[in-house]
Parts: sequence; structure tokens; C-alpha cells
Amino acid sequence: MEYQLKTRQICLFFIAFLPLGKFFMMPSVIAGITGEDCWISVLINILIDFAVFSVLLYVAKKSDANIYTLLSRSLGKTLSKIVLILYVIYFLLKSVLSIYEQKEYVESTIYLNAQNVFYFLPFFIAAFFLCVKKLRILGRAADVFFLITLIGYVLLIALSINNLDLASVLPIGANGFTNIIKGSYKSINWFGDAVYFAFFIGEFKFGKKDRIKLSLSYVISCIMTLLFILVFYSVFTYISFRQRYALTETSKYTTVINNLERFDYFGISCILLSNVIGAALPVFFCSKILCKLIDIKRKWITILVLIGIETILITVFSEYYKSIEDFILNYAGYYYIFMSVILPCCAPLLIIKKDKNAVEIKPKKEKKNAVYQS
Amino acid sequence: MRFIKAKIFIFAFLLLFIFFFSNDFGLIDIEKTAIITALALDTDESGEYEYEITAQIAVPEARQINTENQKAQVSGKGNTVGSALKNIGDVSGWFPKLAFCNIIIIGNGLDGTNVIKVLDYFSKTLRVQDSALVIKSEKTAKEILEKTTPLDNISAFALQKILFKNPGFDMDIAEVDVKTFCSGYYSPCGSSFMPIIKIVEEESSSGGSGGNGGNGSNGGGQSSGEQQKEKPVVFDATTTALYKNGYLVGTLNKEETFARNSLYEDFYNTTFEVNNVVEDGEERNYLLTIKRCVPKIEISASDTAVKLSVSLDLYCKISDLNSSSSDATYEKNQTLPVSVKLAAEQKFGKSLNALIKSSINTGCDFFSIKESLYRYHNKYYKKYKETYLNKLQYSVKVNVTGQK
Repeated sequence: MEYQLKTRQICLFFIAFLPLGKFFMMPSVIAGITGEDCWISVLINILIDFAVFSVLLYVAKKSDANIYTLLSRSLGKTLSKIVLILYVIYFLLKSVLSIYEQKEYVESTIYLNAQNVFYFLPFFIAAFFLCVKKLRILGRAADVFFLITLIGYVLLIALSINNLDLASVLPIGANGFTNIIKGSYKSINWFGDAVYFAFFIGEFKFGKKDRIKLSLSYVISCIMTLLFILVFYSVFTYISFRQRYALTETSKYTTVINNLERFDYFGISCILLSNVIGAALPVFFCSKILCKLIDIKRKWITILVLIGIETILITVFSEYYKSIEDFILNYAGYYYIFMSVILPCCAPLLIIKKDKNAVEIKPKKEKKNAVYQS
Repeated sequence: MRFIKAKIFIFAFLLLFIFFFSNDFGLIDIEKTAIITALALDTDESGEYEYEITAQIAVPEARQINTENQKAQVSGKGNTVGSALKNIGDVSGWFPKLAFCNIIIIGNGLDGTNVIKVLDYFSKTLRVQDSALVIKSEKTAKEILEKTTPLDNISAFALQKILFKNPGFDMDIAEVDVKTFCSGYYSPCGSSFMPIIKIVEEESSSGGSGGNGGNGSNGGGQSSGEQQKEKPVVFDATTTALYKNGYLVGTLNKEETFARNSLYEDFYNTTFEVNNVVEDGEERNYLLTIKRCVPKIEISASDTAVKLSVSLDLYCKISDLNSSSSDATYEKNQTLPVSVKLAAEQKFGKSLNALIKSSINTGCDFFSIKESLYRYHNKYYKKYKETYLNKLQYSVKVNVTGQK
């Protein structure tokens, strides 16, 4: 069996791409709801994600096939297609905010004076390039971008250290349980990363210590997110909810920046560069599913149509962005929970059914089941 | 398929190439970009608009000889800060670039209003750095920018020199940036502060840059002839304006500001005077350099009261003294006389007491007592959140030591 990915690449994938989308708009959205308890809301989502990841990790260990085979084997063609269509919708929804954030951020910081729809067009070209490639491109990209992400992240965090008021997260839980849960719910669009791992099942050789390696790297990516939220709130305290784009803001108060000007943009650029792939991930997985569903020879046509839809959504419907954002944050959450938590948690059922099949086949070699063999 | 791919990649490459060399498609010409170094926010005297904003603009020019920085002042009016800034661009043809704006001056016309109405714009927009310092002018903010100083032709640069203190300088200014000011406003305390800029006229001109004057232009500027007639000035920012819920509620004098800074700023190498100390039968004045400053602010709450305990531990060296005969120098590590130690303790003690009283009287909680109650003594927060300053019990302890 030819494997698309190596365990190392998946580990690096978690660190290189998963935390990035959470560095733009998400911190201010949660801070607006839960204030100093924003980190608890994030922690809740992280723990849920990790639980889902652990379930999928178990499936990956037990399974010898990829997710598409597992689905069709267990659910049959029709039902598995329905599940995949649901995931197409999920990834499409998930991609809107992540791409739009990147677009708005680039426009409002780099092209402040002359914003134009064409400035962001290269992103879609890059996304198209990514989508036409096989799954192994993510592994290769992770090998390269992992370092870029880390450089950017470390630089931004290091520059923020001087301005931290870590006591600002006190008192713990003062905003109430309801608000904390509300914060978790509204930010769920940026979580659910464990779902990506479902598409890696059967695409890499599950080695002896892979469970620890994968879990550890997933935990590192979670810590990166949590640390960023803590740093963000500690820098901005009571005005955190007003800082729509956390990425530009957290590092700029250090004295070094005042004296040498904004060299923190080097770190920001590193994050932005890695996030070209990070933001394109939902589209990538969406395209992979679509290519499975639509059985045509020239798969790039399917991908082109998908990228076209995304481009129209992001550019033409930008006037409706507020309504789209409100819908995704307020109403789509239930769908996200179903698709990124409940459904993946049912994944072990796919291999249980497979095990049953195995029991039926196994007796072939045994003498006692001679009747069955015949 | 391969052919199509190659076409796509060549197309993408060319497209990226165009963007890279587009120079923003020439929309923002460098000649039309105004590098704003400071902004002055005033109320519009004509009453037609809410605000008048004056931008001090550095005008870089390529010349073969060394010349002073050239400047210009341009004013814009509008009913919001954003519209007044836009108006600056409209009347001047320059695109106001705020990335280098390090100082925002609030004029005295805004004293009776909630200053957050004007400052909020700067904390929200990505156009200006939140690390820009905020200061309050004793007069109109515009006047500060129009003054010429011997320090630098551009008054904003002169202001920066006294506001951005490097280690080794006296920390006698309670500087604050936009972010910190707004953060204080939105905190449970609702309290903020900013330095007050006073114009001090210089009796004798340095004959340097002050007289050379800058290029006035576009309405708000001054002609160099007018500037030459004016006395050069320097700025003093050692007093502090106190704000509660965005409104000006009081001021801290020079000593109180100094005492406040001893608690919150890096005081290493800051100097202070201890005057009229009788030593060896002679009245002497001492200049002490602080080599170590360890402040401690403890806030506690109980069922009966909220307690604030301030202690300051200073280690000082004698830098200078006026005496009829003394071999004391900074390098000699002379022991600190008891009378000087007591006088220094008394001086700081008095200032710190006055500082706490100012907080109680004005309601400006610059000690962040309410915030501390909220964070560390949350069970008492509801009980004391309205009355904590009235019920405050405080104590001040100062310990000054020198060479032993």
C-alpha cells in the first residue's frame, strides 16, 4: 500500500497550520463575550477537539483503509455519499470566515489606501494549485512551513512579553458559566481541527510510537493557540474586544519597536505566509471530497468550479459579510458541533463493523468451520 | 493537462509579478503622502464642526547640504475625528499617513468633554500606532505644534525628546500611550491620566534651529518671518492630568507626579533634590541619584474596610551637594548623612500622602484599587465597588538608604 503521508509530516502539519487561523479575528470575538475568561472558552473547545482527535487516533490505529473506504464499507454507497456531502457543506462554511479574515487583514494592513479585489486574487490561485495536488502536498508543505510558522510565532510572542499583564485574566470565571459556553459556541468555527485528521486515516503507516508523537504535536498546536489568547488578553486587557485583528497588535508595544519601527511585521508576514495554506485547508478537503463524489476524468474542473464559488463568495458578497459572519457565528455552530464533534465521535463504529466482517472471513483458515468454507 | 497547468502557473506568476511592482498602482504617490509626526485635537472655535485637528507634517527634502527638518501644519475640520483627518487630506492634497504619528495632543477646549470620544478612534484604527503618546495641552493643542523650540524645528520631535525617556534620564513624566489610556477608561476603575504640556518661554535663544523656522503651509502653518519674531520655547510635562470616566477631574503637581512615577516607572538613575538640610552647622542642598527603587503597593479588603499600603525602598547615592568645603563626588561613595536620609524620607512620604489624597478627592483611581478588588478580592467587589475610595484606609512607608 502506498502511503501519502508520513507521521512526521502530520505532526508538523498540526503545528504549522492548525493554530494560525485563530490568530486573526477569533481572540477579539471571544473577548467580547467572555472578557478575561476568554481563555477558558478556548480551553473548552481545545479539550473537545482533543477528545475527538483521540477517538480518531484510535480509529487510525485500528484501521487499514482511508476514511472514504471506511465510510462506503460501513454505511454503503448512498449513505456514505450523504455524509460526504454534509462534510462538503461543512468545509465550505468553515472556509468562508477563514479566507475572509485573511483577505480583510491583508487589505487593511498592507493595502490600506487602495483596496482592490484583485489584490487577494493570488490567494485563490495558490488555493487552486494546492487543491489539484494530492494529499501528500500537505505533508511536504508542513515540512517547509513548520519552521516559518514557528519563527513568526516565537517572534510575536517574544515581542509581547514586556507588555503582559497576566493578572488581567483574574478573577477566573467571573463572567459566568453561560457566557463562557457562549464564547465557546461562537468560536467553534475556528476549531474542529481534529476533523482534518479523519482524512489522514489510512494515508500514513501507523507506527509503534505514533500515538504519542501525534498526540504530543496536537497538544503543542493547542498550547500555541491557548498561549496566544492569553498573551493577547494580557496585552489588551479591557480593550481586547476592540482589537479585531489580534495578529498586528500584540507585539507592537515593545520599546524595541518604538526605536526600530515595526520589524514585528517580519513575524506577521511569516504567519501570513503559512496561513495561505492554513486558510485554504477547508477548501482543500472540500475539493478532495468533491473529487470523490463527482467522478469525472478532469478533476481540476471540479476544483476550478469550487474555487470559483469561493472567489465569488468572498469578493462579490463582501457587502453581505456582516450577515454571513453573524450567521456563521450565531447559527452555524450547531451544524459545526454535529459535523466536528458528534459525527467524528461515531467513527469507531466504522471499524467495529469492519471487525465483524473480519470475524466472518477469518474462519476460512480454521478446520472447525469447514461447513462455512464450503 | 500539463499544458494547461503550465499556462496557469505562468499566468499566476505574471499576476504576482504585477502586484509586486505595482507600487499600489501609483495611487499613493510619495510626493502626495504626508508623514504626520503629531496630531493636535481641538474643538472647532467657529462652532460649525465638532473638532479641528491639526497635523504636523514632516517634509523630507533631498538637498546636498545639511538642513533642519522642514515642517508644515495642516488643519482639518469635521464632526468626527475620522472626518477631520479626511478633511486634512482634502484641503492639502496630501494623503495623511499616520504610521509615524507618535504624539496626540488634546487641547484645553476638550476639557469639559469625554476625551474618549476623540481618543477612541486612535485605539480602534489600524492606521495609527496605539503606542502613540497622549498628552494634554494647557492651551489649545494647535499652539503646541506651532511653537518653535531650540531643540528641534519640529515641535513634535522636541516633545518626543522629553516624553520618550531612555534609561538614565529622570523619570519625571507620567507618560501614557493611547492603548493604556483607553484600557484605563474601560477598566473597572474607569480612570486614566496623561501628562500636561506647558509652554516655557526661553529668555535667550540658542540661536540654533529655533530661529530658522519651518515652512508654514496650507492654512495652519506659519511663515518663517513670524517664527523669527517669536521667542523660542521649551516644554514642561512634569504635571499630570487625571481623568475619571473620560472627564478631566484634577491634576497632579510636579512632586505628586514624581511620587507616582517612583511607584510605577523604572526609577534607576533618576535624581532628586533634598534642599536646606543642616549638616555640620551649614545649610546644604543635595542631589541624590536613585540606584535602586523597590516600590510595594498592597491592597487588601476585609468586611470593614479597604486598605492601601504603599512602601518605597530607595537606595541613593550623593551626586552633588553645595557646600563651602566638601570632597564628596558621585564616584567617592560617600555615606548618606542621617539628616539627608530623614529629609528624603519626609519628602517622599509627603508626596505619596498627597498622591493618595488626590486619588481620593478626584475619584481618579490611578492606584487601580477597584481593579485589584475585582481581580484579587472579588468577593468584596460588589460591596465596595461604589464606596471603596471613601472607605479607604491607607499607610505610607518610605525607607531611604545610602552607602554604608
